[in-house]
Amino acid sequence: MSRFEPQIQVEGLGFSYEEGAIFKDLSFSVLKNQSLLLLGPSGSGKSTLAYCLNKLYPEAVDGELVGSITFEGRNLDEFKQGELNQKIGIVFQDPESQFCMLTVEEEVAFGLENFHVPRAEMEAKINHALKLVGLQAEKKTMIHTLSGGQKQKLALACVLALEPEVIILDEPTANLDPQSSSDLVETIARLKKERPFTLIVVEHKLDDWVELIDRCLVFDSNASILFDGSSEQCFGEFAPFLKKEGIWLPKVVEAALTAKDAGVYKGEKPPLRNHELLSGLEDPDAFFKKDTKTRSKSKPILEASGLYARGHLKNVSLTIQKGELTALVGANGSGKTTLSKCLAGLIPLTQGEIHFLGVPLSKWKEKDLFQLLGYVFQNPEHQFITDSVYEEIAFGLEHKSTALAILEKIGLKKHANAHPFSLSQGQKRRLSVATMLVHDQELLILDEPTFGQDANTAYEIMRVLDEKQGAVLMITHDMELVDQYADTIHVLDEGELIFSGTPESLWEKHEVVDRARLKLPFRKQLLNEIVRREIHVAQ
Amino acid sequence: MSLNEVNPSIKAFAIVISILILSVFFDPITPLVTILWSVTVTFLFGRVSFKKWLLLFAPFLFIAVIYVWSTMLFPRLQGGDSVIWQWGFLTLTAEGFQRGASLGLRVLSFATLSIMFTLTTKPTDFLLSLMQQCKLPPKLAYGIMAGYRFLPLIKEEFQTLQNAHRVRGVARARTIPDKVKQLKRYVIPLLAGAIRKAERTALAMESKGFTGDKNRIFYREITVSRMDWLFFILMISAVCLSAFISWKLGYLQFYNGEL
Repeated sequence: MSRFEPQIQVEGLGFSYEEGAIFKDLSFSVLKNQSLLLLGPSGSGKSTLAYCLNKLYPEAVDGELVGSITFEGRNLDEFKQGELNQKIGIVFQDPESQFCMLTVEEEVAFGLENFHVPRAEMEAKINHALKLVGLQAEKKTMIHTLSGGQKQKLALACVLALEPEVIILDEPTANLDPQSSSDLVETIARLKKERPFTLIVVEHKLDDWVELIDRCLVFDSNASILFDGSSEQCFGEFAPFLKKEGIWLPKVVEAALTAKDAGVYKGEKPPLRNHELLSGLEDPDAFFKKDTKTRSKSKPILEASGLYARGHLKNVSLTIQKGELTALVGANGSGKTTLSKCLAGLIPLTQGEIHFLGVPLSKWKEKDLFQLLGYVFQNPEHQFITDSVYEEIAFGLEHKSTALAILEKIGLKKHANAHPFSLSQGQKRRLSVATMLVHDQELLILDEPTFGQDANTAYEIMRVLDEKQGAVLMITHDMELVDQYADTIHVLDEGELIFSGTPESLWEKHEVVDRARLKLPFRKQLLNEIVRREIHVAQ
Repeated sequence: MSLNEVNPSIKAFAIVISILILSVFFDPITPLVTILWSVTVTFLFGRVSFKKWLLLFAPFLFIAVIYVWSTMLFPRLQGGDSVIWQWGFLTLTAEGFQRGASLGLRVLSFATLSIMFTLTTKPTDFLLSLMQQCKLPPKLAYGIMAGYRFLPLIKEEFQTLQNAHRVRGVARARTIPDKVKQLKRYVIPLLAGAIRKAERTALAMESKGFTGDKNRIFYREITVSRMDWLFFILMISAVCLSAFISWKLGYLQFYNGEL
């Protein structure tokens, strides 16, 4: 195969499934060892396309595929079942549901067994693959005890053991904490240097990937190709257009756009790297300064002291003030969800006390408590209790007429009679948040409210929360949100509260940031870079 | 040689045959000797924690005691039964006592044998052995294995769901119709979640080249050795010996629809 002959060639590809066409008439090609990023709003069929490329679809679902895909000159139809999977490997989004064995080594072996690798060679291949991702010490470990980041690395090791030519990553960092995400991307970048392979990435959180990606393929919400070209072009001239479509942009691009609108960016070309942005800005210090908003903190709404629970929490004490937006952050498995559920009285404490509005939590009647304290779960589906969108909002409301007004406000009025489960991901999230806003709760607790949302929905949710009366406590991995919206931030590490204070003071405590596997927000990273440079120049 | 290392398929086979033999007899001595034998073997040759064993054994003991009580105190009186004790409508006969004891011990003998298997066999090993020795189709075996991983996840999801509904202000159901309604509300999201997870796992398995092909090379080979067959023979002989002892003591009786 010559260097310029495409490795994967897609022509007139269309795929339809149950409700109708997911996409139609797509044509593009991928060169060997290219790094391709698939971008688009959620629900635009990127994952489906990825599954078609390695022949998982249409066989796994009753879908219909038209057009053709060729891999190294051969049509996919010519490959035997399973044959292609050795050449094109894939890592999925959800670390919980992509394994079928109990231990790490068994899982890697599973793929090798499928391809009839002789038993004598398996051990060496397993060791090698685990070494590549840095999991050699976990060979005999039970998979369910691994952290989210380790699970994704294991998934990568399973793929690497088969020595594929193409690796597809389907939102591999979606469930990971900030440092585990960067860690995974670094691992992939290192591997790609050691042994070249073609990389196809579907991803929303782009910052870590920008260096690695050389080409972008952008879809609109109707799944047609909006843009196909280099990443420089994509995040350059094309960026304003992407922003309008509600597609996440790398933060450096986002910042440059804002700066340009304000007329303070003078760089010749749009930046892709931090230093390019900095040298293009007139006064970077001023640009990245945060205007501190002050909210009047009147009185504590919830006070917790000395909490212990199920071995997950150790002596946690915190106070939530009226009018505050509080963020709860920490690595995967640090006890954030446990703590938040304890605060809502959903998990019993083994020790400690919680006062809500001055009254011990145990003294509250459940019915009264949840009129004043709302909790939005990670999976919106869990909270739906009726058969229609309208009834979801109207449930427990005295004046049913207000329900329609609320639906109007969250843009779901035309879906009023639909079943909540039939909504799109973003709509479900908006509905689940809205069901908790109708009672004007004093305190609203949210478990990763912006998870898996496209840019527009995420901002919309944050805007609503920011305006909310009463107090908000929110679990998140997104340091930008924390930096932008939170008044107070609590950091959990292995069940211990290791920091409570303003975001600004947290960013100065590097040891806390590292220990809790957090990352500085983009703004702070750049400010630090400015300082570093000034020191450099002074020397 | 420990029980944990015996080939899982042969172990299962030995225990199924033992139970079949036991079910032919209906007397107290045969199961009693088998119980003594299997408990001894479990603790001498298996790496088993007594606490876990007791935890599994307790419910069977409970059932057995209830059986014995009810058969002893409410017997079907037949002519010629020797009455030991009588009070009001309660009558205790020697035959009734023997029947009750037979029944209870029978339950317990099945239990001790099964627990011996459960506590000394890893589920993965059992499935691997079923595929390698008994030609169980990989599609089925790996399906069961993936399902086994799901169980704790589904339990967790159920609890989350309960909490989520509590927060929405759905009061805990107290009457039966309310409970049915509530169950219905749980079923849809629970099923939706389970199906989605199952689909994802299936897709992930296929993406690693799993086709259900029966010619697999297994990373972990589960072997059959002479020791495994020795175990089999020992187990069967022990049960037969129990029956022999019972016959010598004059208790042995074939099961004849006593229940």
